Amino acid sequence: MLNCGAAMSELDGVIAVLASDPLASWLPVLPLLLPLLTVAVVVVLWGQERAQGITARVGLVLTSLASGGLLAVVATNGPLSVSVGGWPAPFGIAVVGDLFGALLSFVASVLVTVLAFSISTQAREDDNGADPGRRHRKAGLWALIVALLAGSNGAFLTGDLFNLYVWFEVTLIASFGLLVLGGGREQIDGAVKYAFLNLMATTLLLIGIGLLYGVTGTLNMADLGHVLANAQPGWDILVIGLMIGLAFAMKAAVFPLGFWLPAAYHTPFALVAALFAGLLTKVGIYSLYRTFTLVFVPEGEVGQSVAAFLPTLAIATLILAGMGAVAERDIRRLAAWTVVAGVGVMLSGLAIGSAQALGAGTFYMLQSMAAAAAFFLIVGLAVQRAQSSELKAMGGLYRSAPWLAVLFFVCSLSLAGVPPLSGFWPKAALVQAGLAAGEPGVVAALLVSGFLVLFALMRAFALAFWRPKPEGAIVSAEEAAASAGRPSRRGLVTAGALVLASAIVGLWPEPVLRMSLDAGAGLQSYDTYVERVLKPAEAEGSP
Amino acid sequence: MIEFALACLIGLLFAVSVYLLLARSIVRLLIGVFVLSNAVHLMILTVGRVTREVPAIIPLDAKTLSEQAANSLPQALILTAIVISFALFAFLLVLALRAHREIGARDIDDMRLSEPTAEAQTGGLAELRGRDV
Repeated sequence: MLNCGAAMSELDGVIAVLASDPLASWLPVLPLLLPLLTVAVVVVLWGQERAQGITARVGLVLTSLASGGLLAVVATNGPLSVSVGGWPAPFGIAVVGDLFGALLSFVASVLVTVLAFSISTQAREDDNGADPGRRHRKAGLWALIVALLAGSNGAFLTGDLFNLYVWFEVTLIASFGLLVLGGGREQIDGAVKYAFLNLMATTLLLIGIGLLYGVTGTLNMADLGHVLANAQPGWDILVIGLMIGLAFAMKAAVFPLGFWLPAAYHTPFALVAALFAGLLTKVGIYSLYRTFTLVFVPEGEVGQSVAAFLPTLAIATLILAGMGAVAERDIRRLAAWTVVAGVGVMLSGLAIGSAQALGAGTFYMLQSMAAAAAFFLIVGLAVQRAQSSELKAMGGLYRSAPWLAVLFFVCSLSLAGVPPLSGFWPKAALVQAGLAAGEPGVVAALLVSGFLVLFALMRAFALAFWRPKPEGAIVSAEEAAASAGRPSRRGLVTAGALVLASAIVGLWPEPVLRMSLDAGAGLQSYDTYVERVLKPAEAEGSP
Repeated sequence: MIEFALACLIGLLFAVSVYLLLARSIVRLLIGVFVLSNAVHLMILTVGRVTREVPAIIPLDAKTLSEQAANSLPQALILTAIVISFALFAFLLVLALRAHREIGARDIDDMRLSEPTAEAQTGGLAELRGRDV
């Protein structure tokens, strides 16, 4: 007990130091500045693989520490806002760490760091599906991974709408690079669709932001909410709001706009797919949560018209993803459909709209970063073992790779939301919030979708792992050549660590749940956020 | 007056780009994306108040800008957007070239490698049809 108390007071001391003046003004900027600097150094070290790897890992560890520090300070002291260049808030660009953004930034940083440590730095020529080979590392794998984190952290922590667009583009460019890294034909095919659709989405976002600036004359998100609340309601703001919502929904792969995701996510090698599944859709969902709680407030005209059809979209996304997963015959595309199902769950948090629902959605985002990334790694390893991604040609993996089978099984249960694992708690909280808010349709869709995903994953487990290897399975020469290398032990250990984290959060959800619910409450009553952004001088005096 | 002319031009550019983006040919898609980004940049300039020949410089004896001065923020926004759209367009060009060389398809409908149809589980449709591109 005494030890614990001492550790706690020590932690408080660290937080106090971090929250003191010169450090506090740097803390929200560090999680995006550090990866950007790391990218620059990694690019300068072009051609020196070892040095690149070391630099990238050091940079990622520092980023994780910085966002952890930000999270610790924000959790005790409330939102932290910094005006870049000393220009006061509505005019300069504000970087804001509130609990919601800091939580996401912290988990994203840790996830990318863990994945970066799973990349082998030995000079190997092969690239066997799960483990990037030397060719990938030479082509800029390190720089692109760190740039992806820079973009997502920037999106999580910016307080300015145009700046959000810029971070989106940083993420987008890094993901383009990662997607085509291997240069396979299938990858290029997937990348063309991904690139054009995502470019459309960001252009739509830019149109919306440009028009919004024309109408309101400000781009600061906290200020925008204030200005729009007092603005004359009219069709112009409604159209702009819908346009921005549409752009984010495309990014997040929400129902009628999400078909690019299962077309592209299964094409890169497993590590990149894991990164995408863990990070990218969350950035889109984050932006939807942020804009439709802070900029277009739920009580406003735009908020109300969006709230009218959000439940329908959430239900459609949930059911469609479940059905897509059941109908799928390729295990990698099956994994992509589970990502879409996760998008449906997170969207239903926004659709229900109460503080508890937003908090539960936040919890789901955090745990799904780890679970979805782990699942893509596991599927990548399974495909590499079985030398095929077609369920009808796979089999016998339980005999040849028992640990992989166990990980697949546990991770499936987590994705479907079965009790002792981390996927269960946010879903339970969402169901409770949905019933309290009178949204039985969303609740039913959540349960049905969970069941469909569970069914599809258990069928995949039975076909790919449990049954013996089918006789005369068709293996194309290309796939056999791709999996010639030794299976990656690093991939297995990384996936194991992520699944273990998910299990621990599932068994002891209290700290994460409490923080997520606080974040949800902070999203719904945004007065502190607005105050800290627009009047930073007063905030300094607070304890 | 100039706003009206610009608005007409922007509308025309949007119409052209939508028409091009609806095509199946990748080259048309590329041109469509390029025209679209230019339309957006012009639009941001126009909504941010267009004025003539009054630079956004505060005179020595004043503290604030004069009322008719040009708004410099949209120009900063456009500059950022131009750089980004230029980089993305360059990437798309290379991607389209690679797609043409590797898959041999100029038509989006022939690109089914990542989502094979039931009758074409392996290989692209272009291959099955024996198309020579």
